[in-house]
Amino acid sequence: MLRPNTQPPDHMTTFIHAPLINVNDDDMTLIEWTKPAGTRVRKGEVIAVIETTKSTADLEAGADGFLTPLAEPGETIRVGQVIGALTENLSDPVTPPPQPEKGATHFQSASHLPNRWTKKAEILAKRHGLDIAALEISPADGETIGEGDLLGYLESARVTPPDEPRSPLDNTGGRERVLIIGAGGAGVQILDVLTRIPFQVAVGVLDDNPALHGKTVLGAPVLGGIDQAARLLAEEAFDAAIISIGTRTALRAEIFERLRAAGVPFTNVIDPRAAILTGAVLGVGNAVMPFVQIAAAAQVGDNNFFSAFVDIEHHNVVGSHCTFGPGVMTSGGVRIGSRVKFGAGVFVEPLLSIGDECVVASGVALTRSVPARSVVKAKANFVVRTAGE
Amino acid sequence: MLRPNIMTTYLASLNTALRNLLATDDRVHLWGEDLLDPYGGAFKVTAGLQAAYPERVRTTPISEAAIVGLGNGMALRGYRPIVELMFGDFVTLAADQLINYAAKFGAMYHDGASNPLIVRTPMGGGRGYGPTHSQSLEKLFFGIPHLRIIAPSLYHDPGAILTHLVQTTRDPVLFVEHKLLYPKTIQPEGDSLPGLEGVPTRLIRNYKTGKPDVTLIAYGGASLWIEPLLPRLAAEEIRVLACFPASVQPLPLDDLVQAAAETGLVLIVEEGTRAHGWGAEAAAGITEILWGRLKAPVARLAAADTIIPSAKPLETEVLPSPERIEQAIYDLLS
Repeated sequence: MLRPNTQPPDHMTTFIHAPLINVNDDDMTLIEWTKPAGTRVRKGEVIAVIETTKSTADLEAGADGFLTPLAEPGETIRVGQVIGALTENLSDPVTPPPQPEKGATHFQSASHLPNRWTKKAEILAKRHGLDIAALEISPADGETIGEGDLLGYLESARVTPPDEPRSPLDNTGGRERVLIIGAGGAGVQILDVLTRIPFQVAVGVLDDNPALHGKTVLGAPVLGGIDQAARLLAEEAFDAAIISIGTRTALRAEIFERLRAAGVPFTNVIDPRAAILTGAVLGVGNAVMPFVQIAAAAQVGDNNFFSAFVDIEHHNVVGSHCTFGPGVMTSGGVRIGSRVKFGAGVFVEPLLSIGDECVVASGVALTRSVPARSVVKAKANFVVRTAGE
Repeated sequence: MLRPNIMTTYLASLNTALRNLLATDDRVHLWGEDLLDPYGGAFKVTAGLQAAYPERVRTTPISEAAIVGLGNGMALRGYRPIVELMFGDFVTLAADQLINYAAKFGAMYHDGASNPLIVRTPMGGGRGYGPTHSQSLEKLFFGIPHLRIIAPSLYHDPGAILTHLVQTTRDPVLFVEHKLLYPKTIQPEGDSLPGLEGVPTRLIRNYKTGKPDVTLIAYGGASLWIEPLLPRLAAEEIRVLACFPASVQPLPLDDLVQAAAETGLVLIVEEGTRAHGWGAEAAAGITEILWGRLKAPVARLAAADTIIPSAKPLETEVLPSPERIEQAIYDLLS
């Protein structure tokens, strides 16, 4: 005999709840009401039979009153569900308390508001870089934007499908795999910049110093000499290369041309804190360190190394294979040839030209153009005049 | 008062299978704690059997080591013992008998001793039974050679699998029954993959046309979280291929790979803890074969690496749930 869970009398109505018969069953079947509706029953009288997965049980009235069944024989009922009521008077109205919807899912979906778009449509839009909430799509069914609606929209709007992501199992997560040529100081700088770039990853370093082979630089393995680049390319071990040699512009140019002839693609590595301004154009193989600025409409060739805080001003034209020490600052409209080497802290007046293969030493403030192959040196400690003479 | 159950619940399937095994094979014995009628076992799986077969359905003292040791001896002597451990959490007390005896005989003795011992036990949480009555400790036996672990899901016929094992196995079996499955109506119809040694893997799809978006892999009681999710995801146009192996160990890797290859996006759900879990082994096996054909690393969802609290809201936080599986699928697809 079971005594059901009962609520305290409310307006003299006692609701009858489906009991917890055993701890392993949440649901049970109401087999029958043993008293007809409207019967006056006494507390403790058997009023219903309930079946669980393992047994049937009699349900007793929890109070005196007139019986109003609120569930049908044969119905599946949940523990705690109101299945009937006992009222003080036969004519008392019974208002059943709200009950959970039959068959309602017993969990809170992580999904969005219903009936605007399906999760599939949302995910497909996101894969195309689109926010579905911002798209104007009329759903075919008039209610919910589905996969078909979205695919139709993408086709009519000529949205290019995104590239199939590279299998992330190659451990690069779809990022460009960069091979660094040269394991010296400039190589460390490029590797450092790569740690901050989400879409590129260093996969290794090549250096002709055999003592470095098998070692690592900032976690990147030194894979061998520079002549290994073609083999690694054939093995698809990297996507693009960049040269780190920071001082010898002729060597820089020679390696670049040799590898390019072997089919090696080059990439730019640009620190996220550098600024490439409106209309500025860069070739390939350029290393751009933190806080560099390539200003508006500047044109930069290939394979240049820009140290930190270099400012290439607006409308400059820079050739290829140049290296810039920290803090080189040009004015507007300057033209710089190829294989030019700048020391640190050079200033250049507007509209000047610096020919190919020049060397401009640290601290020079250039006020006139220099022809190709010039070596420009600041007159350090040049005494203009001594007071009292 | 007991009445035969009209629904084919997980419980009824097992009870009927045990009754038929006792009726048709004199070598079958059932031993365990509190099996005697009218109690019929803590979860009533053996209800009515002791009354019908009092000589072969026996109640035992409270010693899991003794129960399994007894089963070992009977199996070696040609019987078909089915022993019950009241709660899977206490399989720890039978670990020595299972690992150092049951699983060893077949390979240790040159005359090819077979040890067709079946150890049935309920595992799993969801009922607020707390840290030591809610675990999924089958993972303690992962990697023990010659010990089979079988856990039928909601989509299997557990009685048919149990019958097949009693009739055919030469190795001992840990037969895991999730305690939340007992009252559920089983859904054994539809597509199956061969599984291992006659223990099938079930394939459930929540769509009629098109290609699936994601493969879900789970065993045993984890199917209970996936069942309500399938129509929910169908409404979101997420086409799910759900794969439920019943052979937890050995792993039916061919089946898992076949299901995984259909989508290249795989989520493995398990109720045991995540660290060193079944999902890790399955993910590694799938990745070794499908390297380069997967669109993302195999994702895993498992219990948090802590105890299972008694309080319902806290227990829900620790164990996987339909909500968490749903979110994991969206994350995997995005």
